[in-house]
Amino acid sequence: MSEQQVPSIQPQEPIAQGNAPQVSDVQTEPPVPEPAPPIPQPDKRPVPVWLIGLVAIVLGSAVLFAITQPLRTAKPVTPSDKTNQTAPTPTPIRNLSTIATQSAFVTFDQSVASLSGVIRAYNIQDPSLSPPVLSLPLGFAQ
Amino acid sequence: MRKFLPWVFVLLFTFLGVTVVRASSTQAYQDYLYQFNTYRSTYNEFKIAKNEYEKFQTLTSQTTALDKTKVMLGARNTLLQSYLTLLNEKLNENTGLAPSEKNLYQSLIANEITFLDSQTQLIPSVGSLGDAQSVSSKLESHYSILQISVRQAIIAISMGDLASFAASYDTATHDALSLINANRSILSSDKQSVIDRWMLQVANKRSIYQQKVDAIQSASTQLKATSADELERQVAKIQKDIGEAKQYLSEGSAFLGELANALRYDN
Repeated sequence: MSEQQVPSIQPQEPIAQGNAPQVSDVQTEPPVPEPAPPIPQPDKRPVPVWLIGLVAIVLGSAVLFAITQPLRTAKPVTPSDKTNQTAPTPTPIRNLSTIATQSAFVTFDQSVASLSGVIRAYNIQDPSLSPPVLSLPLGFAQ
Repeated sequence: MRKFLPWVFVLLFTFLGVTVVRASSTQAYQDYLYQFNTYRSTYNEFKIAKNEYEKFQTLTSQTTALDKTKVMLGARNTLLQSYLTLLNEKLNENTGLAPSEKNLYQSLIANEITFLDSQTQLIPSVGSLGDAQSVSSKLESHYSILQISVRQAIIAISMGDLASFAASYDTATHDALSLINANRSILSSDKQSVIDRWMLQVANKRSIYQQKVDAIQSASTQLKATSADELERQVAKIQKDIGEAKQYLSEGSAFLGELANALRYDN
């Protein structure tokens, strides 16, 4: 920083009445404002573009991650009928009787099961037996 | 080896017999379908020839119409005969019908086939459209009787099937009763009374079934109709009753199933 000469004010001799200086005689120079001290400038090196890009990518990834995180962690919601969510009824333990081991019972049981199935499957109207529908009159004008 | 040879033959012939019986009904059905297609085709040709004759009134169109009418009349009789043959085979295969009933309906069918045969023999001698009308009108006037015979045979086949189920139902009921009586000592008194009550319900279903079957048989033998619609109405009522009879047997067999479960477990 260069030092500048600041004009110093010298003590003047008392001014005689008659020798009062005229206004025009007084050489008053407006004080030169002192220039503001220059702000120290840091070294301005340009930021590399790749760095800006990298920061942008990292920030973008972070934002994307923050947005999608709840979606990824949320479990798929399956529609469930709340009314069906009852406690399972325990299956009662039933003891087989001595009758169940008899061959007569086994035969009876099988014949009943077979009969029920056959009756259930039986169609009372056999489609193969539906009679043909014919238009009998020839319809010639006499 | 010689010991078993006769048995092998018996089994072989039994198997062949079953195959033949099955094949006869299936074959009759296939024949019926074929004859139906033939009839449909000849009927369409008859309609076209008839329209042309009525439009042009030429001798050529008249002759064509007569030819097509004769062919159609023959195909119509053959179709009805093939259908009656199918019914006959179904009656043959039915295991639930009593032989007397089977003979009754088969003789009805045989009569109808004979009638159609006689009709078919008249066709070659038809020389005019008036003759054709006359031959056709004989079948038309007889058709309601033929329809009643057909419906009675169909109802009889259904009744035979139900009778077969009822026979199995009776056997199962008898087996259940024997089983209960043989094991009465090991059943608690409470269980005995429950099972006895259930057996009454099983018998009750069988009884209601029988009442329904008797009503159906009576209605079937009294089938009379002044019109095709009236016949359809009566047959529909009988079919509904057959459905109800089947339902009684079904409910009774479900009771027997419950009974079997009650006997299967102690508690």
